[in-house]
Amino acid sequence: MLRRALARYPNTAACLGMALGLLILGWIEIVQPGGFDFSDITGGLVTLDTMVRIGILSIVLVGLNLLMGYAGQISLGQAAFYGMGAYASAILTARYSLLGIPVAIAQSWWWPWLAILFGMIAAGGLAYLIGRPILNLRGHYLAMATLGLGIMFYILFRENLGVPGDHITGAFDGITAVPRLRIGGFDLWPISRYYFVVWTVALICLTLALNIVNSRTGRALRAIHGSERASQAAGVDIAHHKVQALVVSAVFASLAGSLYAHFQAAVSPKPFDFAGSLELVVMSAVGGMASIWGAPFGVGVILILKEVLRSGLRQVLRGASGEHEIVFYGVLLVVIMVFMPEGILVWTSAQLKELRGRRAVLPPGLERSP
Amino acid sequence: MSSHRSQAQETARPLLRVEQLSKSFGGLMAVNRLSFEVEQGQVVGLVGPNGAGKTTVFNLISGYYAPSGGEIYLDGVALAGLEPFRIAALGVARTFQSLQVFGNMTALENIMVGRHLHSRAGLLAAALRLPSMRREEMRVRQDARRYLERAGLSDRADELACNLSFGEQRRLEICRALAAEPRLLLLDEPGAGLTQEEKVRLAELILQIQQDGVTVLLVEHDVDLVMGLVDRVLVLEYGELLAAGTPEEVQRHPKVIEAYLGTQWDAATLDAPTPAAGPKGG
Ligand SMILES: Nc1ncnc2c1ncn2[C@@H]1O[C@H](COP(=O)(O)OP(=O)(O)OP(=O)(O)O)[C@@H](O)[C@H]1O
Ligand SMILES: [Mg+2]
Repeated sequence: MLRRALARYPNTAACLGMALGLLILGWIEIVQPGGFDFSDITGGLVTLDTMVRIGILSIVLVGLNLLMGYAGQISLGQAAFYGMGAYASAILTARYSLLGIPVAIAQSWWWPWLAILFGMIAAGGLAYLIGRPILNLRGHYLAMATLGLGIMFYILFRENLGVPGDHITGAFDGITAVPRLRIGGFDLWPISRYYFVVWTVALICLTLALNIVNSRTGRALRAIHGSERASQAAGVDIAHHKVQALVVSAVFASLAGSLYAHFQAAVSPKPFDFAGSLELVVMSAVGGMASIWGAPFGVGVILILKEVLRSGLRQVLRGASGEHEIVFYGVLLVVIMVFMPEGILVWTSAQLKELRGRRAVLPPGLERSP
Repeated sequence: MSSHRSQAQETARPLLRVEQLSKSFGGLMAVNRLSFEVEQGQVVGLVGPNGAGKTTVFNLISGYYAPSGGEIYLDGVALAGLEPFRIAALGVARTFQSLQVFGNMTALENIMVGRHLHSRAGLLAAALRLPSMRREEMRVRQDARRYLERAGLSDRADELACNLSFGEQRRLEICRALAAEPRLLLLDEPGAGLTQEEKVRLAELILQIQQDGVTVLLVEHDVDLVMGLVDRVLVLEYGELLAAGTPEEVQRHPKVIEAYLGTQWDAATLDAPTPAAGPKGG
């Protein structure tokens, strides 16, 4: 009975499965059964900190996969939207006096949530303004426009939004003392609590995106991918649907950025530069662009790989810097595109299928992705 | 001009009226001051040698090209300059000479995209799976199954479209266009690459479409197929109308005989009803 229901709703089943897995991990961290905590179990490789980062970036990636994998539009500046959320939250909650916001409001528990909402609306609005004219054109104009946007926002963050001084964004050093989130009097901190918050939001975003994919809008997006001409002949307003996907991706990125700001309790420009945007594209490719489920896997693989490399590569290449990172991402992207163009998740499941023959099935939800 | 239009509407009321339509590509006049009308409910053939401008006419009517001159009216509404999806919404559906199925989607999903104009669930309703959206989704699925049955593809519903045979893909494409419930259906060489048996099925499908009251404009090189199906024929050459009339008239037309030297357009093909000519052979 249960099995039948789960087979019928593979996405729901996978979501529940993932939620259960995450619950168990969180429980291990809190209860520490047998004196083990999370990082002990994974040999120090994956800490709860890493898990929170994976959750936050998964939110960005879910939106990015919708945009790149389904709407077929490349964004080379997604970190700009991510940064918008982070800076909106940081400025509104830690630099509120600059804006003349009364302390009573700024220190209420709901103010940071309002700031998150503000960031999402601003990012979505900006995405709409950029997307509306650009997505009417064919070709990779969006890639170029977002590339420019990413560079521009990085400089704005770094240069105090263009205003002399460093009192707004804190220039290179960024903004510190960003408060933690609360609901009423209940702190969403320490990290073992925040972990649940982030992953709840991530799973909600994942579900929303899956719902979009399996709907009229999602079909229209996939149809555009299949044949622009034929989808127009069926009455699909291509620009409209592409803009929607861009707006969703920007809103998700901004939400994730806000969660990041409250997680770090600080923001600085570095994560929102071109390497940051490139990293997101690589994560998308690694997990599989045309798969919403690929999002957490792409993020997970890259973040864990980075952990490994940070310890490994630094020893090999002493003085490894941001530029080495870009080279590394470039190589990785080429390798992935050559050997598993559909991403690790699809590739792995195809390998498993081959290994186990007919009996095995794709992980739930995958069979629906093109 | 406008008095001319209202007059035409009062009398026969053609569904499609093309007036002095031109399209040039650089120096080449692909369509040159072309005028014709298509009456409601008819199947009209658009024939002519390769490069005559047939596909270009389709691309102009459905909005993929902007005309260099002239006008196109669908039931009195000017189409020239509108975007393809708006023209689709006005009731023009089409297929493509180079098959355009959504290979990345199943046969059923292809048709569900064909129902795009008859559903409206937006992004938010979809993201939240509102009850209204779920009801609509079920309805779209049911409707799509009906059209799939018409294409004779019920048993292939969940197959990716790229895995269907060529003939199946052609039928799928036609039924996806039909799913939009168009007033005017443009078929660009639907018989190309089909076996004789598949052509018979195609002819039956087209007649069925006509019986449902859909007006069809058909480009086809297979003379037997065209002549057996259509009420009227338009012969195009170098982007200009060479002749127009019933199949019999056109085949006796001196210019047509001259142009084709009677090779393909042998009178014999008319008299002997072929399988493709189907029920309307005589
Ligand atoms: N996009 C384009 N750019 C330049 N020339 C074009 C374009 N589309 C069509 N043409 C030219 O216009 C003329 C008419 O082409 P069209 O495709 O309409 O012919 P057709 O009657 O459909 O031929 P066929 O029977 O081969 O399909 C041809 O000479 C073709 O090369
Ligand atoms: Mg053609």
